[in-house]
Amino acid sequence: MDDDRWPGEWMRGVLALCVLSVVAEGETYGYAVAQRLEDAGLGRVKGGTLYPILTRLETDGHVTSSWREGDAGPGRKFFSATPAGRRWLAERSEAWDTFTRRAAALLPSTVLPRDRSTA
Amino acid sequence: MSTDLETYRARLLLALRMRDVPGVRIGEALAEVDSHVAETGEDPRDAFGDPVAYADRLAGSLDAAGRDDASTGGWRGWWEALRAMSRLSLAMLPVLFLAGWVLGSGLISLGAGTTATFGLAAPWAVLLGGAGLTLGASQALHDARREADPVLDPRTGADLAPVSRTALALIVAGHLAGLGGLVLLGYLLRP
Repeated sequence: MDDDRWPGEWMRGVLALCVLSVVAEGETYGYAVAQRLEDAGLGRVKGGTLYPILTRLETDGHVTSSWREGDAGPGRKFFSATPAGRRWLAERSEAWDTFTRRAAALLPSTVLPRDRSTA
Repeated sequence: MSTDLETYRARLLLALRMRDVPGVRIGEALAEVDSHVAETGEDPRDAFGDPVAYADRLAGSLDAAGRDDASTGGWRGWWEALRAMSRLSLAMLPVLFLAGWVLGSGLISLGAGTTATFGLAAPWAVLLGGAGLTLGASQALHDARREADPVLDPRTGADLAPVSRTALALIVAGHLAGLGGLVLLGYLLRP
C-alpha cells in the first residue's frame, strides 16, 4: 500500500485529533495544517475535509480563530487551541494510544516468520 | 477573482443558505475558500469538492452548535413569521390593507374621473393611501433589517450577498407599472 493513502475510515477516526494536535503546537492556518499533516506522513488532506473539521473544533470550543491580513492575497484565518481543547487533546490522545496498542496486539505481526518467508 | 472561484462561491453561498447556516458562518466559509485557493493555487472544485456536498459537510459540522434549528416551511413557517413580527408591525397590517385599498381605489378613480372609496376625491385618496403604504412599508423594512442575517466578509465586514441594483430597479419599476396600470384600468372602465 502507498504509505500516504490511508483508508478513509481510519482518517475519519483520528483526523480531528491530529488537526487539533497541530494547532496546539502553535497558532497556525488551514493550509499550514494540511502541509504539516502531509509532512507527518498522513497524506494530502483536502480543503473540503480540513475546514469542516476546524469548524467543528471551533464550535466545540477546542480552538478559536481570527482573520489577519496576508502580505498579499485575501488574508489568513489563524487557529489556536483553547485550554479546554488542550485538555480534550490530552485525554483523547491517551485513549487513542491505548486503543491502537490493543488493536495492534490483536493483529498479526508485520514481521513475517522466518520459516515461511524463506520457504 | 477568477470566474471559477466566483461561480463556486455563489453556489456554496446558496447551498449554505438553504441549509439554514447563519450568515456569519457562511461569510467564514466563503473567506476560507478564498484564502485556501489563493494560498494553494488549486481549483476550488478540486480542493473542496462539489459545492452542494461541501455545504452538507459544513452544515453537518455545525450541527452540534451554532446552527439555526428553526424549522421553516408550510403553515408552520407562516406562523413563525407572524410570531417574529413586532406588535407595531402587526398593528400595521390593517393599516397596510386599508391604505392599499384606498390607493387602489384612488388610482382607478383618477383614471375614470370619478370619486374614490369613502367619497374621497381621487387625488386625496391617492395621497392618503400612498402615505399609509409608505408608513407601513417603512415599519416592515425596519423589522426586516432587524431580522436580516447578512452574509458578511469576516475580513472586511462587507456584505457578500447584497441586493443587486438591477433587482432593486426591477422591483421598483414593477410596482410603478402596477400603479400606472390601475390608472389605465380606471380610464378603460370609466362610466
